[in-house]
Amino acid sequence: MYKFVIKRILITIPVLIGVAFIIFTILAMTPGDPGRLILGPLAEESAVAQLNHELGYDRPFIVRFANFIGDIVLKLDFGTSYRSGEQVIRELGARLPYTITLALLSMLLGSIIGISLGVFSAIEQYSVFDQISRFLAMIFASIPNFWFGMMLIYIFALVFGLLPSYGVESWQSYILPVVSLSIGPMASLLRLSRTTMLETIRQDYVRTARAKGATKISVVVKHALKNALLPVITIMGMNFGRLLGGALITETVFSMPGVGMYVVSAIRNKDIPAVMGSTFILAALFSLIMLGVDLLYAYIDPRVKAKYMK
Amino acid sequence: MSVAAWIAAKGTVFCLHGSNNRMQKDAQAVKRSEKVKLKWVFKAILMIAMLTMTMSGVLAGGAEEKSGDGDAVGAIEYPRKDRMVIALTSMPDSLLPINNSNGMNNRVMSAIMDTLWQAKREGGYEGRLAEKWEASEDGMTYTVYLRKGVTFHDGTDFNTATMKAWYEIIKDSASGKFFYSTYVDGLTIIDDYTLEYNLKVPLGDYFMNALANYSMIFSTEAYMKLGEDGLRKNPVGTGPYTLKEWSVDQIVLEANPDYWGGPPTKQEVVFKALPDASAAVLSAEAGEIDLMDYAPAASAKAIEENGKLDVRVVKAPSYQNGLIMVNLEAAPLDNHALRKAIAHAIDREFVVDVATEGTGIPNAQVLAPTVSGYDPDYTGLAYDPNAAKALLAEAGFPGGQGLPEISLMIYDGLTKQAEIIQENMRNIGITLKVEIVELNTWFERARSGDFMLNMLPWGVGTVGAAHMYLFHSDSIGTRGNYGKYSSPEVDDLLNKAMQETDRSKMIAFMQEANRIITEDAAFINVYTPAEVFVVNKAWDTDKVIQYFIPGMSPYYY
Repeated sequence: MYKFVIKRILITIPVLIGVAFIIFTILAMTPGDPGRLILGPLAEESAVAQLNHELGYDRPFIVRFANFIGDIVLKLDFGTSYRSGEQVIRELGARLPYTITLALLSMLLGSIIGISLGVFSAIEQYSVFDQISRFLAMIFASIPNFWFGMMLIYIFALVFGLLPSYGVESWQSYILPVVSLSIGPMASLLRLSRTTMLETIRQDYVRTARAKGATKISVVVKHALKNALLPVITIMGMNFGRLLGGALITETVFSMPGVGMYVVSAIRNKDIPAVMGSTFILAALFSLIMLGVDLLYAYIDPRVKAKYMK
Repeated sequence: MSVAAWIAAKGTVFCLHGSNNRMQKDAQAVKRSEKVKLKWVFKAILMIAMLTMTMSGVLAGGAEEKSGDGDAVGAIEYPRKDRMVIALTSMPDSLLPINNSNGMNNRVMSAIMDTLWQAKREGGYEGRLAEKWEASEDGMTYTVYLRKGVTFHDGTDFNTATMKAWYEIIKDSASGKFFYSTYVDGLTIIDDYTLEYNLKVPLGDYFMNALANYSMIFSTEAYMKLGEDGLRKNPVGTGPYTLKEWSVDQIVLEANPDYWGGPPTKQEVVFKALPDASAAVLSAEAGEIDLMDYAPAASAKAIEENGKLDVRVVKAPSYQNGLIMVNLEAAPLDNHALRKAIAHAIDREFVVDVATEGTGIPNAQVLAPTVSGYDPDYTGLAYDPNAAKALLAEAGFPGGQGLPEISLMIYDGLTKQAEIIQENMRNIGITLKVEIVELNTWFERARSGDFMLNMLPWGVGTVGAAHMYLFHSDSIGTRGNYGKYSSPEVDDLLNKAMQETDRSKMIAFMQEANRIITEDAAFINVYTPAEVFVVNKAWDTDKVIQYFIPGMSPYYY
């Protein structure tokens, strides 16, 4: 088991370097340089060149990339932001908790509601309940995130004055963003768990369990659920990774100081260390989550566990 | 509530009734599965009932809160003099006024640090750290009389010694180098509160402009102690507010009771980043922020029409222009008659009404109304489709025949304007292609001359700015004159205006330059946008429009 884990972690390293290289290349090919962006479009060429030199931007591509990787490996230093002069790792550290909280809560809300509705829909296939929940899933999957967020703000913050319209000051501030962000995973998990559940309850062993006289509840929970949820767990892991970066829209609409806003503003300003540092950390986090999902898989499914124990 | 009870009762009866009609063993199984079904139905009904009851309770509570009770979210208290919340489009990243052109940074810095003087929107300057100033006859020496009794937030005195130290730091920085090395020979100290700027060339209004607005004075003692990185996060100035807290989602300033202009009216000013403009407008209407300046034109109009809200809209003329720049090296745009035809074909009123919801001012001169040299009686190359068609024929392209496609490069904020202009062109026979690019790309292509027409809101503040970029041949290349416009007459007039210390003479030069540049049609102005502020009715807003930048400074309330 441990060999498996170690191997997976080792594979992550070239993945991370590859991701870093791609992002670095894209940044190098896009227009604009930090000196110009900091000093403004009408600054003198010489001033811009001077600032670029001070920031180390005029060194060749490979040198900068090698320095970046070297700094991370040897000193765990993700660089210093061009604009604020702060350590990227510290700026990210201040912002990651908000994004992770938002992503985690949305994931939880979306999963609990989505999976339970999906499972019930599968059990009561073609019933009114099933029709309604499928319809809801379709609506939630189609609603644009930002529009839904704005509607929530309008209704709950402006019309009823119940909840804050922006920021992260209190736990109430998280309610609207979490609801707004959760409808995406909710819709996809609803459909997915419904489909997998439908397949599972058609299996022979389920029919056997029913024939044995097991109650519907116990059949669903004890026998079918675990099998039905296997693919769902993988998707949940991927969704969470997507939510980490994709919380950007929600963060922008609700003005939450998370990683999404930070990265976009860094990209706009060609703040290369900030972009590279953020991307690297997000990629590492995502790899970690996928590793966790794989391990969870092994834990839940005895067949997989047996394979890795060998 | 009774509805829920009725439903619950019905459900129970149904269950009980159902359980009466069953057979034996099979019936047991059927009974169990039906019970399961019913249990879920029952639970669902209960949930809906609970939800309905909560909602009705909540609605009633919400209505109460809305009627203006204390600190409930959404309620407004009058009068509010102790705390103001200002919305920015992004969090500031540096509060050091060196190498810092970011507008968000500027708004916060202007509350913490002072400049020597402040440009007024109606023209002229108001002294801040300088009480008086005099230009010598020849414009080569400026004597500045500093305000006495001013201290920095760290306790050090403000006097000519600190001014000189500040000057030494600024003049070699990347952002200050051009101005200081080109125009300033040195600084001479006369006494503790009087100094002289010795210039290399005579300068008029341009000198005043350069030292206003963006030349914020920070404590050099703090600079020595903390260095640039330290000052970036812990600015030390002479301003009405000091930095109290800077966290990841807000910047909090607190009042400086020893401010030379008297203690400020507010105890606290909070800056928050609300990047989404529409969401920020909602927050303003809900009373959660007090001031913002980036409301979309449609939202501003909606607020104005709905006078019952707790916010109002304040408009101030800006010094920017929605200016079309012509690349004189892109044939056939070197044809003067063609350019004038284009200028006459644009329906500026319509652009303003539709694209800016009426907040802008149609403008066919190249200078904005707030800029020296603007002449309200001069109509410029105004909208006249017949003249446009005649000029087009004169240019050798009657009805647009033989004219290749002309492209207009814009960034995505000008889409509506560009569409209208495209239609205007079509009416006289010109095919206009609109290219929408990202802002950085816009500048890269403009700098390299890869465009035919381009459009951007340009700011030409005072005569100094007009010289520095856009119209002077010195600005060709990266300094803003991307169309390579070069007119010796205009150069001469702009030089004279820049060096003229007599304000009325300077204005005369600029007026003449204005006419020549407008007639040359290498720059075609469409409109002057307005600065639109959405501000909570609790605040007095007259001062918002009194000064250019920072119109958002809490200093002015």
